[in-house]
Amino acid sequence: MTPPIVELDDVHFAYPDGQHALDGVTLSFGAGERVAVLGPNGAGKSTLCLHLNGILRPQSGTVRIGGTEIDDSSLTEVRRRVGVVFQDPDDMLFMPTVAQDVAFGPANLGLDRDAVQRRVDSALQMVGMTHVRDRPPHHLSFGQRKRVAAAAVLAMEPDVLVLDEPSSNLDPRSRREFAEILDALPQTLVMVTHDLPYAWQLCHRAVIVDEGRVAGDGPIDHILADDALLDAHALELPEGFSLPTQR
Amino acid sequence: MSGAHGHGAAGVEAVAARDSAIHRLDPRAKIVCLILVAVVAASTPAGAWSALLVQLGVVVAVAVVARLPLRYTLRRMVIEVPFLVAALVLVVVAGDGGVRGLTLALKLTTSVVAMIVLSSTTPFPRLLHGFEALRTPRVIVLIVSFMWRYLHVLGEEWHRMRIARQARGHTARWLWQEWSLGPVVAALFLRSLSRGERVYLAMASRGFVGTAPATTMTPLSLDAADAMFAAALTAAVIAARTVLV
Repeated sequence: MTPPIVELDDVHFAYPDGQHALDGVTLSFGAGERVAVLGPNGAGKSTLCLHLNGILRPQSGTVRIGGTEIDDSSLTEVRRRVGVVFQDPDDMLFMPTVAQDVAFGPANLGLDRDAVQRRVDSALQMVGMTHVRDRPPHHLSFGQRKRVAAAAVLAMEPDVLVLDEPSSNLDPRSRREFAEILDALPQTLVMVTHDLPYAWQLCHRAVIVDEGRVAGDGPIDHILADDALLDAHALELPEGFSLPTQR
Repeated sequence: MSGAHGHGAAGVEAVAARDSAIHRLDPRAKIVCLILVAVVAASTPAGAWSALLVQLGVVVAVAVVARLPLRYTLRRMVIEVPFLVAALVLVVVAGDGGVRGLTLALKLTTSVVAMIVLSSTTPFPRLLHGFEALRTPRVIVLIVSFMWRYLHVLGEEWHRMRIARQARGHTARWLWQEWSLGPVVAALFLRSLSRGERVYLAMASRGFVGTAPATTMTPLSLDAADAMFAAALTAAVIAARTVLV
């Protein structure tokens, strides 16, 4: 058993309007693990994601990345190690060209120009977007922007990749191609999604979060086969989809 | 009026993406020279007709070399109409109004054409790169680049909201029929506000701590063409300003 790279211990978080988004979450993810975080809308999944790189801080409890607790002094290192790909790529891509946007993260790490350049090249290559490097983001299709957004995070060379709804708004081909890119990555993957087949395809483990608590945790084959559990948390496999008996 | 923002930003982008001797110049050479033309024109005294005409001739010549489409350029020039109206008021009100009004109109046209040439021969990322290389504070460059980037995103959102209204039978053709404009603007504002928040979170996720790093890769380089352009333009407008006045 590899030591956990992400550890949450009794994390509580409430938004200023009093809504308890996380109500005592304890979880740990091992290095290289691929975990799907499932749950209904408003269950606290996105809030959980934002705790993994210190964008939100627990009001009580602790979050540790690679054994280091997230605090002001470890924040930069945490954000290097944990990359978050947001649901809407337009929230991420703000620079005038694709290459400049991908360079933003590594440049923030204080790397020199050559090192940044190498990171940009290899990240764009990983997602197959080298040919659009000098284009402005608004000239790209949604699927292309999504891939560039992933490249922007991969250029930080994170140990953990957190994805919020990776398959949303993608057409079937982009969805499959994006899955292939993710599947080829060695990183620990944490993905929040409603797309259960997508989760099954990419992840080995599933965590169900509902009302700010962990309501289920185990191998994704077991979780997705547990109809009562899925039903209790407003999760449904698509009509006509049945879990393959073997991968 | 299909794409709410289509004609403006997209039109400039399309023309700036073309190719000509002027398009190929270093953005710094264009920025410095064309701003210089505008400044020299502004400082030329009223009634120095030949100087004013030479200055206007110079920028028009550059526009011709850049092969800017005539209709496109004229449509961009509409921006100076309100100022021309002000110049017209001057003609009516002031004693030597005719001279001053016409001088103002010429100066304005020179500056506007200069800026159209600059923005229509330089793709925006390159223009920003030029300003950054000229030591414009990076935070200013970043703000302008944000504006440009999210203008497109907001334009699309505006367009979608418009279509959604039309889909529900909204058919306003005139401004005074737009009773629903207020709520729409408010909705767009709220969306932009939360978008801004998410953009900031995404930036922070990538290690942003308030200082914008340099992200441009290939350094700009001035060559003989840039030097010739700068020398010719500067010589022409300054000579006109000093000799012909």
